[in-house]
Amino acid sequence: MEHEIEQLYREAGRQFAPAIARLARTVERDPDRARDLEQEIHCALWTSLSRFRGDCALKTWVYRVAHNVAADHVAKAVRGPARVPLQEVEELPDVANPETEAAERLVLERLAELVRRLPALDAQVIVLWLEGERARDIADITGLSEGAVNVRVHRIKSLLAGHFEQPRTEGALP
Amino acid sequence: MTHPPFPGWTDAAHDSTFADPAEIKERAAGFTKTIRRRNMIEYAAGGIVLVPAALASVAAAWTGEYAFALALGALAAGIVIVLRNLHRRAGNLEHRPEEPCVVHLRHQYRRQYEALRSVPAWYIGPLVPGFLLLYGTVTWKSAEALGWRAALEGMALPVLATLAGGAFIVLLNRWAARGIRRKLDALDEME
Repeated sequence: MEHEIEQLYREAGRQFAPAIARLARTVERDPDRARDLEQEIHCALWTSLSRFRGDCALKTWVYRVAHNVAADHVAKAVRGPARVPLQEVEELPDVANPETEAAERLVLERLAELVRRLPALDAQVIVLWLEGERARDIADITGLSEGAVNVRVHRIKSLLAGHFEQPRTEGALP
Repeated sequence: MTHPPFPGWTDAAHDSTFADPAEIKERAAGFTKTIRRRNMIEYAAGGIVLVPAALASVAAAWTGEYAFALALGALAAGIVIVLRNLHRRAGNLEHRPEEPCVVHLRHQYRRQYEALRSVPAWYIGPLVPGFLLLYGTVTWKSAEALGWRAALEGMALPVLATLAGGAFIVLLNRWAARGIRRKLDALDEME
């Protein structure tokens, strides 16, 4: 049994370790705390894998564990910005480093800042979208309907459109 | 997976790896130890209140002050019930982070909501008989020496302070429960 768990854990690590590191670094700006959260996710994943029966894809399982542990971590934090639902956000928040030069890097920093200010589910949808997951997979991971996921993705695309020098069409925008 | 919308996002931390399974096993064991240690600290904190009440009850019975013994015994029993309730609530926490995120969030909110809303039943209630008996006994004993008027006047402040403290705890928890209820409603609207 433990051998199977170890195999699953290693497979999850091969596929998703970078995505989990990015999630931790997005949720926690402080590098030490981000590292702690990353380890907390690894630990929760290891413990949870004894219950994995293959009812869903390993990817779905890993992302669910990672995002739920991250959401619990945020909920435990005493301080933090007030959470504003994505539908009420007018523009991407400013970041601490206004001298960032590369446009995409600036947008990504502002996106990360936005994620830190969103309620858990909105943040989870945006991070999964940034990871390149399809609406159907995001719906499977979060438990939201595909429609609810699409509404949020559309919203973030609209917010992003205002941050490129030349506005892109819906199709051109990533 | 489709193409990530921003390659810059997925390029970050691309060399990250999972912690070694041996290290993770050790951490998981360490986590269990931490929970056990935290529980011990909570019991010790409960003991700081419980032991003096229980000892005072025994001492009162020893000296023939049976009314005080009963009151302090009821208070000690109330503390035991509160500690047991705390332990049960912590023990019943089923941690399943593999649930879909919305289900997980709803479970967390509902658990917090129920705990906050029912504070009068599981936290305040068990202590009420002990306090009533204690204040009643003190008033009765004072009245024997000073008369009822003076005894009641003397007890007014402690009784009011206790009532105010209890009401404050209940209201604070109700207020927090309402906040959680709003989050639960917002979750329902999201789907």
